[in-house]
Amino acid sequence: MEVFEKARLVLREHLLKNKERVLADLEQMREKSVGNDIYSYIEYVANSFSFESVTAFKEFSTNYTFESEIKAYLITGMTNEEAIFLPPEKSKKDIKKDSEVPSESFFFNIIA
Amino acid sequence: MEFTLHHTCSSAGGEYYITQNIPFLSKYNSEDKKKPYLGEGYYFWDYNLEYAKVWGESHYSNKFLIFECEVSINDDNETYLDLVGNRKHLVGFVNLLMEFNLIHDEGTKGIDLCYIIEYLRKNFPPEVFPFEIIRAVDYKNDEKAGIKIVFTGKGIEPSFTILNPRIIFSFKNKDEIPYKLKPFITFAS
Repeated sequence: MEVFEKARLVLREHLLKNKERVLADLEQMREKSVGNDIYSYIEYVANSFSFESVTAFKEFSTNYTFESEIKAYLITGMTNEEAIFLPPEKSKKDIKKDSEVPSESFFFNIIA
Repeated sequence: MEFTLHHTCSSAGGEYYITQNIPFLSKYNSEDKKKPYLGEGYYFWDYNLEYAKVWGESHYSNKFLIFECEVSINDDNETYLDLVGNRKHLVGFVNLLMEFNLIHDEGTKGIDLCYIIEYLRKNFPPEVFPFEIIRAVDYKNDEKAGIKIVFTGKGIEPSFTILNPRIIFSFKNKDEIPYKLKPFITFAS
């Protein structure tokens, strides 16, 4: 990989020194090109995965003030967010905690 | 690694002349808008006599010769860019192209690979693109010719592989083609 690292460094230096000239050259090449390139491939791959298939709660907004957060916590012993997202079962005392699931496994579950 | 390669050329000029001068350079031709896929160079098919024939029929009006040769390329050859079987090379090359995004969001977007390679070779210090041997797949390969085969058949769009990829070799310099066995005629139309 050394050859690629060296190439990148030399290229970067050259690009920064000759920015205007290179930009003009790129535009000239773009005009005579067909235009299907790696970006099209990347866009295609990106579009092949749709978040529509993922089940998730909808976003919503609430009027939030820090004072109301403290007040609510003092009264209920829990934050507003905890109160909103609290699943019904959690109010029961003898709940067994689920096994720890690493956050990245969520992604793997989606693409599996 | 050793490769068996095929080079197609027109039979015009006579067999003696051709055998003394093969392979022939593929270069830019503004008249017929000919653009060699990987820039100017000496082109071979990677072990693909069948497609070398198809190429001869379509590009040389069925009057062609096909040469076969063997080359030996070391994996540590720093002038070798393998865009087929070496993901480190693929990632390295894509990262190299991404450097252009430093000077503009568009980067090399919309520019054909043949122009990019020529530009890197001719307009930058030699360290930027030291590659003189390039191997790439031509994915314009229909299902029949490509022998597209599904792995398991599951899913709406099942995963597949292609058992007959059309692989191209391009050598920048004729004198530096690492022959193990010099070209010889293997097929004449």
